[in-house]
Amino acid sequence: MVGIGAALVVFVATLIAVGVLQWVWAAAGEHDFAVPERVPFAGGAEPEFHAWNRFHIRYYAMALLFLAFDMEMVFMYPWAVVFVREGALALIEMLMFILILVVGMVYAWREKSFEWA
Amino acid sequence: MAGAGEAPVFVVAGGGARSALHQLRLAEGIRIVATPRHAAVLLIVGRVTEAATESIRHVHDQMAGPRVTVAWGHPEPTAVPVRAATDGGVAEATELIRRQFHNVVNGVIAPEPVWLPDIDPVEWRGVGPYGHGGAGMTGGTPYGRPLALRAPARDGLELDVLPLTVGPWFPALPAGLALRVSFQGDIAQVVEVVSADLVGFESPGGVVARTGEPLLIRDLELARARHHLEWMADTFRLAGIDRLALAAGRLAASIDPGDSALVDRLATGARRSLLGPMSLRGVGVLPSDIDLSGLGPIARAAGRDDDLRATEPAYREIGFEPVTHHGGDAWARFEQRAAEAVQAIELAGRAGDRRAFGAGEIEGPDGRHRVGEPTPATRLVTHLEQMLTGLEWGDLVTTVQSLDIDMESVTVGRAAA
Repeated sequence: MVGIGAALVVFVATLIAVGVLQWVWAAAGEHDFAVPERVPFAGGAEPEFHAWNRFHIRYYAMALLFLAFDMEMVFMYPWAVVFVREGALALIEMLMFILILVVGMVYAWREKSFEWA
Repeated sequence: MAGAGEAPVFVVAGGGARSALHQLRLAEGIRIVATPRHAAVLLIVGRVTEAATESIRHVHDQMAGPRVTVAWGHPEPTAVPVRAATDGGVAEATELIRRQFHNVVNGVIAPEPVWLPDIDPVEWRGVGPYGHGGAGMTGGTPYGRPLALRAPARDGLELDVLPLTVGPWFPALPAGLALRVSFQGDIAQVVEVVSADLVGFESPGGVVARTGEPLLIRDLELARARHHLEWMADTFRLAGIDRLALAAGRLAASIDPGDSALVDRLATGARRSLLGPMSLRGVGVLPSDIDLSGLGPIARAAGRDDDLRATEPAYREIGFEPVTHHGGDAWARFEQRAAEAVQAIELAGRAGDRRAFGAGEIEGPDGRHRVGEPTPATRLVTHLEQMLTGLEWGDLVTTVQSLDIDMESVTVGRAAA
C-alpha cells in the first residue's frame, strides 16, 4: 500500500509541475512578433522558398553498417561462453562470421559509402 | 543590473571597416555575435552604398529586440535612420555602443521599431476547409513562400532543391558578398554571385590611385603583415579556434618590426590545431584554366614565383626573395600567408627609409594592383561560380575565405573597368 501511495504522490506532483511549467511557458512566450521579425536570418535577403525540404541522407549506408557490426558485438557475448567450452572450433567459426561481414564492408568502401555527403 | 554585461553586437561591415572591426573584437564589454537574433545593437561600420539599404533593414528587423542601431565611420548620413554615430576611434565606438545598449535595455531610450512594413505575406491556404491539401508535399504556400523545387541529383534521383540567398551580411562570407545557392542537402548544386556593389570605397582608383609617389617599404610591409594576420584571425574564427583567432587579432593590432617570432609561433599553433588536415587541406584548389598571374599569395601558394616586389631595386637591396608553397589549396594559402607575414615583418625591420612602387602599380597583400587593370578581388569574384559549384557548404565557405576577397576592392575594380 505504501508503494501505491508514494506512486500516487509522485504522479500528482508531476501533473502539477507540468501544469505550472506550461503556464510559465505560455506566459513567457506571449510576444507578438512583427512579420519582418519572423523572417529567418540568412544574411539580409528575403528567403524565396519555404525551408521544408527533403534531402538525401547519403550516410545511411554508414548507419546500416554500424547496425551490422553492432549486432556482431551482441553475438560475441554468448559466443564468449561457448568459446570457453569449445575452444578453437568456436574461434574459427567466429572468424568466418566476421570475415563475411568484412567482405560486405570492403564492398561498401569500394562503392564510396563512407563518404559523408 | 540590466545592460551591465557585454553588449551583443551584430556588425554590417562596409568598405574600409576591416581593421577597425578587428580592433573592436578585442574591446572589453562588447561581444560580436554571429546572427542578429543574438544581438541588441546593430553596428554599421564603414561605407555602405544606397543599394545596401534593403538588406540592412532586413538584418535590423531580425534582431530580437529591444534593439538600437549605431553607425561608426560613415562619411555621410546613411539611408537608414541610425540612433547614434561616431567618427572616432575604437575606444569611442566601444563607449558609444555600450552606452546605447545600456540605455535601450533599461528603457532610457525607446527601442527601435521594425523598419520594414509589418504586413502578412500571402496567407497559407490549401484547397480544403482547414487550409489543407493542394499541390506539393503539404499543399498551399506556407507564409507566402512556395515549397521546395525538384531537380535531378548527381546519382540520378529526382530530389528537392532549396534556392537560398546567403549574404550579403552573412558572417561566414566576406561582408557584402551575396551568393544565391541551390542546396540539395548541404551540397551547393548551383551557385550564383548576386552582384549589387553594396560596399562603398574611399577613392575610385583604390589603393593604386593613392600611391602618387613611392611608398615607405616599412609602412607597406607592416600593413601587409597586419592584413595577413587579420585574415588568419578570420580563418581561425571560421574554424572555431577562438583562442588562436584572439591571438592573431592581438598581434595584428600591435604589429611591430621584431614580432616575426610571434607570428611564427602562431603558425606553429595552427599546425598543432589540426586546422590543416581537418578542414583546409585539399579544399579550394583553383581550376587549371584560371590565370593566376597577379593573384599574389594565391598564385605563390600554387608554386608560382609571381611578385612585383622582385622587380623593385629597393626590395632587392634588402634581400627580398619571393616565398612560394606547393599544393594551391586552402592550407597552402594559409602557410603562404603566414610565411609572408613573417617575411613582411623582417623586411620592415631591414627597410630603413627605402621607398618603392610609385609608377601606378603595387604588390598589395592580395596581389597586383595596377592602374587600369581589374583588382585581384574583382577577378576572383568572376570565377567564384565556377569554383564553388558542386561543393559541400563547409568546403564552399572555406574556399571563399581562403581567397581573401575584399568586396570594397571588387567595387573599385568594377568602377575602374
